[in-house]
Amino acid sequence: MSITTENNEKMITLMSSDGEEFVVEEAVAAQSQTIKHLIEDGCSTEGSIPLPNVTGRVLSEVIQYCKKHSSSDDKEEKELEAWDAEFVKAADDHVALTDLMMAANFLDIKGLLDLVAQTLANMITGKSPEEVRRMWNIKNDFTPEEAEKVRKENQWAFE
Amino acid sequence: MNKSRIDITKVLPEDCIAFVISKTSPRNACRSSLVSHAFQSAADSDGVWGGCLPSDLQEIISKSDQPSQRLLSTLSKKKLYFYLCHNPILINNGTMSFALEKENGKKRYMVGARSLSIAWGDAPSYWTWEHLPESRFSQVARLKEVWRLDVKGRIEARILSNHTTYAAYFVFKFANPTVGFDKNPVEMNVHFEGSTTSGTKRQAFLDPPKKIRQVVKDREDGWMEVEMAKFINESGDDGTILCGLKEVVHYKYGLIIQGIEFRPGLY
Repeated sequence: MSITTENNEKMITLMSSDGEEFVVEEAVAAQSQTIKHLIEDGCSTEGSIPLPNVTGRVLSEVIQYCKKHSSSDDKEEKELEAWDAEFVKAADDHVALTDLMMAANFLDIKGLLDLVAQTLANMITGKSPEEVRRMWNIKNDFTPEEAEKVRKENQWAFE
Repeated sequence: MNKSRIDITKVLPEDCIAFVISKTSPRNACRSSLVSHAFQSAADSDGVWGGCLPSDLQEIISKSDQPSQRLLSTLSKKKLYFYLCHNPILINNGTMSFALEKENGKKRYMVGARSLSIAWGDAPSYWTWEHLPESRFSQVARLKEVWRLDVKGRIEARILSNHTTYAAYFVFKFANPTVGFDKNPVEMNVHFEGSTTSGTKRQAFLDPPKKIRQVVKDREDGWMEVEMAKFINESGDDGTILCGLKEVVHYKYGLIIQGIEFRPGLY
């Protein structure tokens, strides 16, 4: 489905994995390289673009990000940075961030992928392996011998 | 299953975890490998370490000799990173060495004595050139005797890492016996070529008398060093950095020069 608004802005309909539809301006949707290519290939002319890997909840957040970034220009860089910081803060735990990262990866939105990855990176910076496991619910699947070997290979980092 | 109990490594594919780790630091990346097998595999991947290596590394390596090039081409990106942190490679016909700073992957160079401009350096009655096993270069300069000690080194800013504070170090040792370096300080000067500002000037005793604050440091490789000056390399377009070390009044002998090293700050 492709309709045009009063401002002559072409609209695109996106459908999430759980069947929710979002109508957005083409310029907003095209922040995603994946969607941009689909539009170029003519996939947007018949009905909505299905996004089988992204739930409605996550997609609405992604669209929020794309809206902000398609309407800002370079002069507003500082303001945009502050907005980005608030945006990732709202995704309050690593599960929400993980969902966002998967979506950004699938939709190929470089700015969002960088933003989320940097946020996750900041969470593990300076933490011990034990702290990272606890924070992200990761099971230690090393035997004591394997762990000792890995520690030796990376001795410098533990000094 | 409670969603907050989800193991992140069961959800994110390896390349996404690697991408997250690549945005930490070399030290954090190494620590990450002890979290779990999935983390280790991501943390050791070329995706992480390729980003820690300088973007012009291939060009630099192409200036080293064939055996080095062959050896380096066989290493994974992580192995290559640590190899270059611990083993400076010789480039430009063996007159310069290149290495990486472990903490941040920035570029470290030493300009060997043969590439320095040493006053009277070609006069065998003043300076001799010899091989020392503890030097990375094939030749070092040994001072027989001189009044006029005047050493100059230069490096192009564009080959250094950008947006980085560097320090220049004079790398040397003393023969036994040595005379003249405990009585008078040398004058050191570092500036950008053609710059209107005079750059940084300082003085130091290379063989300091006991009561004077020690600025000469022992290095792990058995040599000594003194910091000549710090400078900031912004975008690499500031031309050439010139370093000088001078003491032209008093009689002296016994100095052995390995080179001048340019080392990035740690953070």
